[in-house]
Amino acid sequence: MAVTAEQIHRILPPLLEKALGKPCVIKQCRRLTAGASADTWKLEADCAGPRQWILRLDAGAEDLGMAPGKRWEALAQQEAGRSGCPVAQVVAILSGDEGLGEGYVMTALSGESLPPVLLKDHAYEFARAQFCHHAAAALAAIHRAPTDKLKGLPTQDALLQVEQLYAMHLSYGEQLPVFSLAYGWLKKHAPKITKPVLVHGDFRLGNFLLTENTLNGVLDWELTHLGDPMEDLGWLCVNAWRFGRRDKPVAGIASRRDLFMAYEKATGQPVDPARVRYWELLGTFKWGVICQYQANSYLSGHVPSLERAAIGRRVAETEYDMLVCLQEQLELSHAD
Amino acid sequence: MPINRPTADELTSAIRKYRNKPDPDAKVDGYYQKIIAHLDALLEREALLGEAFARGERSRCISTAALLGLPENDLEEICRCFAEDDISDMLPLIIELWLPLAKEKLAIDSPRYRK
Repeated sequence: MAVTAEQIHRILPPLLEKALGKPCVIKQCRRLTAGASADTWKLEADCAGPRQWILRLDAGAEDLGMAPGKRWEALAQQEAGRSGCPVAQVVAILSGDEGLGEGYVMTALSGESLPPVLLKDHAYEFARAQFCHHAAAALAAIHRAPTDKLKGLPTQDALLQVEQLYAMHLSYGEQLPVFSLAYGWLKKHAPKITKPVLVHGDFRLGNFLLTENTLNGVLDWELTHLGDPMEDLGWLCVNAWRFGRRDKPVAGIASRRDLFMAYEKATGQPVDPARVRYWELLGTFKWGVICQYQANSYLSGHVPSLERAAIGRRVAETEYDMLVCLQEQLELSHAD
Repeated sequence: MPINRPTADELTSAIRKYRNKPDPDAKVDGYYQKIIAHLDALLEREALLGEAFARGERSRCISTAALLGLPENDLEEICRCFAEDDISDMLPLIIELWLPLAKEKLAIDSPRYRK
């Protein structure tokens, strides 16, 4: 059952008063998206002055089986913020007992997130030029965040993810040799993690708020987990997140070399390019399974949306990309 | 590497269902009309290129089975072999065989993707 504005007006103020120690009145609340995995609302409140907040609630409808839940999502975001990653400040965390389901309230940040605008608009030229520097600084903060308070996050190494995704792929009943080929290779070459760190899990264009000068916020922590830091770098380079700019592997903006140099400078740790490429292939495989998942949600009658039906045919893009990634892997190993 | 689901029939049915009950919001409907135009074009391409693609796929299955010494050349057996990474050092040849087919599939599903 979807949460209503009336429930928010009734349930949230005492929780916010308890969290902030000040009287709070919600003046307005407006649903922004009723997405697949989060129900997001914009709140205008008075709490010792005007406030603009975002409420994210568990939509409860769909789950790829990889999300830790809204409470842990909020805690991860909080820890990353304390380490210096630009994130919205978490104001209150909802355990689920309050009557709205699991969720959290955070400050609303300014900035633009739409990839076509960020990639084309002249206003973001400086932000694009500085993108690797800012993205690497954000990643460094995420990856150095202490994990002792994040024990509830799952550790997801490469092999676990590959097995989970292939099982999902098989459940859709399509015989697609490229998925099997990528799976066989990824399974055989899966890197082991020596020291799991906090990983964002969906660090890509579309989940960043950029102002004209800087990266103002890293959004959408719903796939966060503990794992290999190289995963975030690889996912940022997946072709789907280049939005048509195939020649600029990092978010359609920059080269891998620029990102790796910026990351090494920000962390003092060397980047393992082969491992990043591994995660890029795994990311492409993951995106392919997500496309199948979304198409299947239409085919099973769960989400009767034409958009969901159409995305099934984007699987062809991921099959092509997986073969190209495999070919590049071979070229790289040959060059070694 | 068959054409992915939804199949042409399933897409046609999805379009019909939407047309029977379009979104009342003009802005949302405009968005869905763009999706329909995209899918109509895709279906036209599939009608034109689909049979040649299926022949190409069949020939890849036969060549792959021969390459790997498989007794059967059906997709299930090939997928099993790939998933077990039971391909020895044949990966470059397998990519050489299947990459052109992936491009043929893109010519149906997303022709501007590689540009």
